[in-house]
Parts: sequence; structure tokens; C-alpha cells
Amino acid sequence: LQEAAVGSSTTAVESSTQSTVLDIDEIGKTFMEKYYDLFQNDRAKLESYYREYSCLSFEGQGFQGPKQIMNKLRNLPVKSIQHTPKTIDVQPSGCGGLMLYVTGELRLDSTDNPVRFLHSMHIVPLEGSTTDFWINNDIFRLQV
Amino acid sequence: MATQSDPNQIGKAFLQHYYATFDGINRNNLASLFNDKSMMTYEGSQHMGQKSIMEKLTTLQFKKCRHDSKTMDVQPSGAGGLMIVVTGDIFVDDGKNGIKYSEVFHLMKGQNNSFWIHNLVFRLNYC
Repeated sequence: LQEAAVGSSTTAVESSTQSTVLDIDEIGKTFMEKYYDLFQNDRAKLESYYREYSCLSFEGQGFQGPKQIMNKLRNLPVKSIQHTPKTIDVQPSGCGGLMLYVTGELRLDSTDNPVRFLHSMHIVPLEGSTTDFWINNDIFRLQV
Repeated sequence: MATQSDPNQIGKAFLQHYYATFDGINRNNLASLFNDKSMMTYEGSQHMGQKSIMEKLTTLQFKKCRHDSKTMDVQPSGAGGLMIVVTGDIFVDDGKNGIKYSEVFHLMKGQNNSFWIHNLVFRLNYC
């Protein structure tokens, strides 16, 4: 993905293989929605997003690689976790990927009082793809 | 800033400098951290390049502000870059109550072992 022209209401980027203009806001939104859907409903499938050098910081704890990361994500001390994004900001990362920044609400075990969270990711496209990414950086924080 | 091998040290030093300059008497001094490739989204408002970014940061709707950062997470982003995520409270114009904010910086290595800001996203975090 090349650098985007920021400043218009739609941030567009040209892929290296096609001249089609891509809407990175839409790409980022689609990615995060799928990620959170899997997180809640089929968490084991998240493993395919993480590679050997992927880093996760989860509430200040650091993990690297799919084994460590999935071990953390599959052993959280609550049964059900529902992310509701309120804002998603997307920018090209300058090293071929996208920077995503989400703020929103988290509902744990269907409790009524949501907790605010923020979630930042650096995602990198699979060779020649504009729909499949892996996660290089993943930083998650509650904001209480 | 000299590079050291510890990303946490670099992150901490960067944030101290960034917020001290932002909150200080001459916010214009932030300009050297940005160039024409830098991108900033400030509460949803998108800006590209040093000029547009500095124009936004020096015309925010408060006279005084103070960032009180509480958490910092730092990771290498690949290609020598650093990703820093901060959460904290921002106090504006002598207000007693801080507003929760969060911010992500993606730093890249420039000349003389210094870092510049390639990506910046700032969000207040309230529901």
C-alpha cells in the first residue's frame, strides 16, 4: 500500500499491483469488525493473524509470537467479551501497512456497565492483498 | 535524542519532550518532529505534513493545557520504527477535572539518530 493523500473525507491509497483507489478507512473498519467478531465468537481463529514477530501489549503485559499471544487471549479471566468500537482512525503506517486506532466500550460477561477501551494495531497486508492482513503490533488498554 | 537499545527508554524520553513542548510556552517547537510525510488525526480532524499539523496544534480551542500521562506502551513497528500508545488525562485552561485521552505515535528514525513522527492519532476517550 502506498502513502495516502490525507486531508479529504475519504482517505484513498493506491495498491502496488493495481491502480484502483482503495478506501483505507473502510478497509480498517472491516478488519476491526471481523477481528472483534472472531474475538467474541471464535477466538481460536485469531491465531492466523499473528506471526513470529507479532507483539501484543495487553494491559501492560507483553507477548510475542502466536503461541504466547493466543495463550493470553484464550485465558482471559472472563467468559464473554464484547467490543463496541466508537471511533476508528486509520492511517498508512509508512512501512507498507496500516495504523488502526480504536476507542470504544467493552462489555464483560454481559454486565450492564461497559468499560472504555482503546486498541491500536499495525496491520500488514499479505502479498498482493487488500483484504487479508496480519498483525505486526497490537496494543490494548482499558481506560478506567 | 540519542538512540539507546531500550525502546521503553526512548519512548519515555520522547513523551517527556513532546508533552513538555506541547504544554509549554512555545508549542511551535514541536514543528521539528514533523515533516511533509507526517500524518495526524486529532479528534477526527485529518492533517498531512508539518505545516497543516502545526496549524492545527497551535490553534486548538484552549489557551493552556497539561497532559498527565498514566500509561505508556512501546513496541518496535518494524524497519526501525517505534509505536507508542499513551493514556492519561488532559487538563485545559486551569480546569480542575481532567478529560481522559489516548494517543498513538508511530516514530521513524531520521538523521542523526533522532526520531520523527510519521503517524499521530489523538482521541479523547469518554462515552
